[in-house]
Amino acid sequence: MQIGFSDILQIIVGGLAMGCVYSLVALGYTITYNSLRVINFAQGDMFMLGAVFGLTIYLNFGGYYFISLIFAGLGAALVGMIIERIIFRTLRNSPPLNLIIATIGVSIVIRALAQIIWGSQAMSFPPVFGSSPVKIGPIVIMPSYLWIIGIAFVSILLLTFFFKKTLTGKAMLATAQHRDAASIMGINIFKSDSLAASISAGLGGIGGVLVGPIFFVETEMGAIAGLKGFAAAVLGGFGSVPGAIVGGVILGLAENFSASFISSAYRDAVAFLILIGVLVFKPNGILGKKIMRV
Amino acid sequence: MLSVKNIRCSYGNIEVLKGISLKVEEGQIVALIGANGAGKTTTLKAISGILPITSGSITINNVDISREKPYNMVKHRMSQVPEGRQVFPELSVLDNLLLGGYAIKDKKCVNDRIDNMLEFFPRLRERAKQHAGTLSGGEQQMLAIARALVSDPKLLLMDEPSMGLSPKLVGEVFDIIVDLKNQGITILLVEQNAHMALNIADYAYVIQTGEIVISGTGHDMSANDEVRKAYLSE
Ligand SMILES: Nc1ncnc2c1ncn2[C@@H]1O[C@H](COP(=O)(O)OP(=O)(O)OP(=O)(O)O)[C@@H](O)[C@H]1O
Ligand SMILES: [Mg+2]
Repeated sequence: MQIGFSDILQIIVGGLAMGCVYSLVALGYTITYNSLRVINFAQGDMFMLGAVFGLTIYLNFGGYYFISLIFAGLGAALVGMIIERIIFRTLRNSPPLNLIIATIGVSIVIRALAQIIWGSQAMSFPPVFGSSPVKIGPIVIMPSYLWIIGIAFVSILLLTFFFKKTLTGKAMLATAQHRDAASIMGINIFKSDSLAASISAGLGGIGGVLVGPIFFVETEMGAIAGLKGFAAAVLGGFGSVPGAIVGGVILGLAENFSASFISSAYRDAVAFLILIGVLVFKPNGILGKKIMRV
Repeated sequence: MLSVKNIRCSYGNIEVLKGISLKVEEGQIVALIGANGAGKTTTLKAISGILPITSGSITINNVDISREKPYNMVKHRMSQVPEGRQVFPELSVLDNLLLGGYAIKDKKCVNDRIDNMLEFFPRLRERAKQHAGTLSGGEQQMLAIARALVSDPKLLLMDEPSMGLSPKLVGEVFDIIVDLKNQGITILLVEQNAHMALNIADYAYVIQTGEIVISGTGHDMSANDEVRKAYLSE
């Protein structure tokens, strides 16, 4: 096969789109880890919940994709808030391993409940982004990729604004850095925790609604998405916000290039190769400062 | 102003405070001195609600705050310079100050107070945009003090503000404390530097393994033989 310049651009756009979604999932891991000191292995299931919530809202409430996106994100955020309240807060002072195992338990419960509600059949969105490719200069792109990149970009922009410019965002960062000092300032650290869990879950959920229209939606989809988001976070440097974004984008690109140049059968293997490679050779990741504490 | 009556506190099974009582009258500097591990920091944590007390009571201006959440303490016009500064290392100096006024509704008032602080601590103004974690120890201490003052407290708890500072800076910090007192702020000062603390204190308590063992005016305490031997190394 002859691969030309425009093909490369196409691979890049597709890789970027998936990469942005991994970034959102990875950001969820990062924010939860920074604030609650938990690696939340139910993060992938927030992605799944986003997708099933989104689809359900889309099909039952008039077929407005953006409204589905927002409410599915909020729905996932609410689930994140409930998990924080019931699990993380109760286990706050338990050994990290107990907490991690608890999150795996949460993941199993959520998947089981989702299967009871939505069944185990794969479902699919109608082509909400339009099904005919658009031509931009020499390249032909599926509009869904552009929408995904655009929406993910806006989400990350809003997140950055929240942390850099709002007092609530700063209070959340302060809580993550020094809980006692934060509460002395009058910050309700439990609200900060709750917010951190909600935002993390919401970001994962948005990721799920974004890929819903280009993949099948099913209740097991969180497993792979969660692992890829985790790989992206580790690649970027676990605990680093810019790292999560960069890690996601690199993973998405690496996947798409290897799928195009080697074989699409290896697409999913790339994430694991990267994960193992980073853990062996550069455990701090690209932008990470300190060895992750687990 | 602040009255602590017979409070007890535990970490797990270990009782660390075994019935502490102390009083801080309005406008005074009261010093709490004692050896490492005596329970000074724990006492402050108990007062600020970070650590729940198992018995006893704490009141501010006759309002019971024994079970008050730490994040509600600002409402009682209480503020704290915690042990080891505890500035928010990855937030800017300015953001640290901004959070000092987190609980204050009137943000214009907060901004004015921050301006005052930057006036008073010019080193902080020069570094306003820098991450607090990149400041020197002395600068971080100034920031911790400034941050505690943004909420315009009536009562200030200070935990070893001179720790790890050069003698010159220690002098500066003590000057600031006296200055704050003159501005009408009541201060409960925990110190290892007993000599200097007793010099500026109106009243002082000595804590030993979770109990108050001696108390008296700063002047009397400086003259007390036991105190001199144990804490002034004379
Ligand atoms: N988080 C904790 N868990 C268990 N024990 C603790 C904890 N914090 C303090 N302690 C114990 O409580 C006792 C009192 O500690 P505290 O920090 O109040 O001492 P301190 O008087 O402030 O000492 P220093 O001058 O060294 O700061 C010590 O024996 C200490 O080991
Ligand atoms: Mg102490």
